[in-house]
Amino acid sequence: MSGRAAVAAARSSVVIVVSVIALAACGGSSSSSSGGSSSASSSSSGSSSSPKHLSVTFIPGATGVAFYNSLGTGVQAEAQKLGMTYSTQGAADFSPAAQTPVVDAVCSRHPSLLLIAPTDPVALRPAIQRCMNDGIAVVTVDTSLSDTQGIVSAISSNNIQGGEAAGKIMGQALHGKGEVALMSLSATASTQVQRLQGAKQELKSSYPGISVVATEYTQQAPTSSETTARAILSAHPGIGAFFGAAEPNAEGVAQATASSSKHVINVGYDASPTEVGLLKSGKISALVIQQPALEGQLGVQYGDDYLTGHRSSIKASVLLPNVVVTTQQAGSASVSKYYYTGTS
Amino acid sequence: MNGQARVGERASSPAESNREPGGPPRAARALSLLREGWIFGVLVAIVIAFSIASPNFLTQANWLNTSSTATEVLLLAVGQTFVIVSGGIDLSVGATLGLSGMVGAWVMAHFFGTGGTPGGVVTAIGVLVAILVGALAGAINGTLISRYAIPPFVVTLGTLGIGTGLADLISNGQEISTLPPLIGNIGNANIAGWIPVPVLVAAVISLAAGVALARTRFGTYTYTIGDNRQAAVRAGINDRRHLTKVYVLSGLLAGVAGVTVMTRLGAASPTSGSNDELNAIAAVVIGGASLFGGRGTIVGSVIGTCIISVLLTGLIIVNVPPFWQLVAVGVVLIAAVYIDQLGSRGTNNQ
Repeated sequence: MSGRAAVAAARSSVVIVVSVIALAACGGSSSSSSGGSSSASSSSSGSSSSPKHLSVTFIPGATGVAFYNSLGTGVQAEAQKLGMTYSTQGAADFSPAAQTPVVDAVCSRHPSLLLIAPTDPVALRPAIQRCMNDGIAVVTVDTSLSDTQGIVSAISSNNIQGGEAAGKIMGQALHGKGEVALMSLSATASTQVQRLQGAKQELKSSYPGISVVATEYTQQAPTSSETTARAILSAHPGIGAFFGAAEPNAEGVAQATASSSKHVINVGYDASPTEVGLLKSGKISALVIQQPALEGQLGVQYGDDYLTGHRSSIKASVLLPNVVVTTQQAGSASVSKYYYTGTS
Repeated sequence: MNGQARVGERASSPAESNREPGGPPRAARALSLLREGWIFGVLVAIVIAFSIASPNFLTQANWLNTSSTATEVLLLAVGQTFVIVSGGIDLSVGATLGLSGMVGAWVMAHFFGTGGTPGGVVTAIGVLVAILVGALAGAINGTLISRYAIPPFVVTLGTLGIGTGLADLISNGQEISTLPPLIGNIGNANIAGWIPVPVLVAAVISLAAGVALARTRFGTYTYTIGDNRQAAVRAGINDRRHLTKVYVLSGLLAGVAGVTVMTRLGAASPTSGSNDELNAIAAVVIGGASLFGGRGTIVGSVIGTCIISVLLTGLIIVNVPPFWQLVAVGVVLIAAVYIDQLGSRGTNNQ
């Protein structure tokens, strides 16, 4: 009895495990086929047999974020143009502990170029160093490392400028008087800090009649921003404007102010499909939009220049300006190219 | 005289009346050996499948990555095995991992920042503090569960939130990276190029824990309480004191895991360990433990951890898209437990 059960169980275990891996691998090749063949066999044979064939892997700060999806599309498009094999890998959580094993596993596959948005300026250094020791060219996008030695290029958005732009929109809309609240995802992540800092600077210097009555930090889920915004509205009923430094902030504020009778200015950051929808309907007043696809495109270009020996054209660090789009402009064809893509 | 002596003997080792000198009874031990056989088969099948799928899987670099990644979950899973065998659950270990790392790092940054103290001493103090914080968190869990009879799920869900919040409070949600260089050097040092120091530490701890659970009175008490707490009490086991110890052990190992993560990153992050408790519980369950208590082994949990870690890195190496990876791991979790049940049904019919 037990012998037969043993055989049956062993057989089914092997069948299940192998089919899961096969299934998952099929999903892999089908979804990334548009970026050229990226199955394990072809990319490895490519890197070993002909040194000219280059490959790029993009590791976002976290998966499922419209900003990073758009960055990935920029990477993929440029890679296709240059004949590089493209793939992407990432962790679900924005955390150095979750990202480090992903970086190590990606480097085991020896891509020629790694584009990464490091989740911590210091904690990711050891893993990225291991990649560079293996001869992989590394470009950081969006976020960066404090020690940039060996990095081909560090490309990011000008977050101070983005924050200042948001401050200016609020100042103008409120005619220089009133109360505003600021929200972001983190009290310490450099991008978030700089955006709020830019907004505060602009308000202080150009609109002294406006006071910042609340600065709150929320979780990634938009419901967390909604709850926080409702609490701010209860505490400060006279509030005239919100500025949210991250995607979910403006989405949450839009929900929270939907039921309010008073018109509240809602300035958001980034341009996820949800945010763009809210912008068009007027629930978000204006968006400060980064250029992630351009970041990805530049990153691949510099990486390719580095790998093919055209190093004079590489800029060690790039700060891209942001674009501001208001509800009035939202439908115009000239701005729609800045909207992020929902799919990776 | 003779009778009295026997009574005295039974009182001093109450649980041994119906058991082998340590661990589960012989029949149960044979059964668990069979279960581990199934699960080990699953692990081998996964490794073979990945090796066929990619030439980059069976490499030194991937071994170093997979084993380092496994260290974190393994330390949590070892502690969790004792907790689950005793009939409880510890949802707070991931948060404890983050908190202990942050407190240890804060202490180190504090000492290191003022200068004067040698890096080795600072590191030793930081490591010790981190482990003590873990043990203290475990003691709080254990006391609330055993003395105040609050269900383990509720207590550790509460301390999960408390630990996460406290870890964020220490440096306002920010990583602490001003640590002695020795920390990063330890985490990235490999013995003979193949064995990272944290992996060695976790292996030694797992071995000791395996012996403790299978061969000592501490292990026997854990099984007995998980099997039937009332019977354990009637047999004279101080169930409260023992349960407290079990949670202290779990917290202490989370503290050790906090140190290993910190050495790998060269920095302490309050987000370290988030969701790791679920990976650890999954590893223990894949390893054949019962969430109802009384069943489970360290060997099983080690194999369960290996399965989870191999899947994590292997699915990246064969370039499975990230969202499919989550699906695949979920399917394997359920499949492994189903196979385990098939196996035990077969032996029960015998």
